[in-house]
Amino acid sequence: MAEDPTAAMAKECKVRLKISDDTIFEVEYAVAMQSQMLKNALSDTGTDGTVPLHNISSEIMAKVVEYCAYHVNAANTISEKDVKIWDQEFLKDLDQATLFNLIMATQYMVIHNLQDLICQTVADRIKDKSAEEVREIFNIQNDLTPEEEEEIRHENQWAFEEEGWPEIQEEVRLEG
Amino acid sequence: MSAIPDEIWMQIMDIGVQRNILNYRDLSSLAISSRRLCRLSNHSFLWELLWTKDFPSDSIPESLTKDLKSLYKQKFERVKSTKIAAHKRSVLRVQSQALVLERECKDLGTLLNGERRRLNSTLSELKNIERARQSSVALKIWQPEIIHTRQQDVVEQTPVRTDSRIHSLKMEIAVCKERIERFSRSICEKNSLMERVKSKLESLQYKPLPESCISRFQGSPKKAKITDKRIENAIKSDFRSLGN
Repeated sequence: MAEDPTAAMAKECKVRLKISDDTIFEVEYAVAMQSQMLKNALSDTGTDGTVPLHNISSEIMAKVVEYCAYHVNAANTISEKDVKIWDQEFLKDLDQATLFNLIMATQYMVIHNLQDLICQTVADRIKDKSAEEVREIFNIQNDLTPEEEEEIRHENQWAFEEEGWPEIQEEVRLEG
Repeated sequence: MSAIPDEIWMQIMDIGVQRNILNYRDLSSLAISSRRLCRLSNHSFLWELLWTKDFPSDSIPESLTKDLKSLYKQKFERVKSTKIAAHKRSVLRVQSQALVLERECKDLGTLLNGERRRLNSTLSELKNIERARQSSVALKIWQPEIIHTRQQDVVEQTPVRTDSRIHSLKMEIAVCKERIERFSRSICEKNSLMERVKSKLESLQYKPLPESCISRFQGSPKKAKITDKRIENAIKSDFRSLGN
């Protein structure tokens, strides 16, 4: 590709993304560059055409664009702490299905930091949950037979033994 | 949710463990929830990572089995029983401290009572003597003729003996009082020590359910080198075994 001044591109060019229901998302070049996949696609074809993203819905695309736009803006202007807070809020109220669709889209578009963020969010939701709760939250089909489940529970029993581990504190030092 | 590829689940678990969100118990819960998650959560690299976090000072033993989860489990149970034994010893130690203190308190109490009794009897002897002295002085003043009896010498000598007796009684009283104060102070100290020991015992014997049974060590946990290669390899080996 020719030596285009990327700075100028960043300011002026818009990238067109055509999604599942044929609507077009127009995003700034810098925002689009957050996605490695778009970066590669555009370096081959230039920004004239429209990049098709048929497997992504508009709801999901909107979220992705929101994230990327914020992070482009935040890169030099917003403190890391505030960015973290924003990130938490961004995913906070999303239901599990949306989260999973988001993660698929993010994986497809190769947006590393968003993907890490979503994985972490899902991990947070798994933390301290029982198997039943995990199944419910993530809508997982229990495909184990009762015997299989019994066996697996037995194998993992050690992890759930409730006998607390006492904290061994410092001894009370007795005076003479 | 079966639409979520294995790779993504692996990444979720990987990041979860790396960032100290998921522990051995969470992975075990995942293992119970479905066949696929059982397979995925058992992957050795996850348990290897957990090992480096939970047992940072111990390297993973050479073993024929490549099953890191069961190695982790063995290590876990060993460490757990060590801690429990140590805790039992602590409790016994504190209990015996409490017994010793109790005995010491009792002994001090006995001593204290003895001193108090001695003090009382000394005080009353002092009172008697002083009264006697006053009487003999009064006698001398008001009835001098009576003094001219045989008892005159006795009465006249008594003041000297009385004075020195009074003096030594007063000394004894002072010593008694000092001892009483000392014993009382000791008892006070022992009592407050006893309180501390008792509350220490209580806190040892109350075992709250820990959030994470193995507390992660302070300081930055040792970070294993994480690359996507591992996830890739894990998935590859799964496919290979499925294909067979």
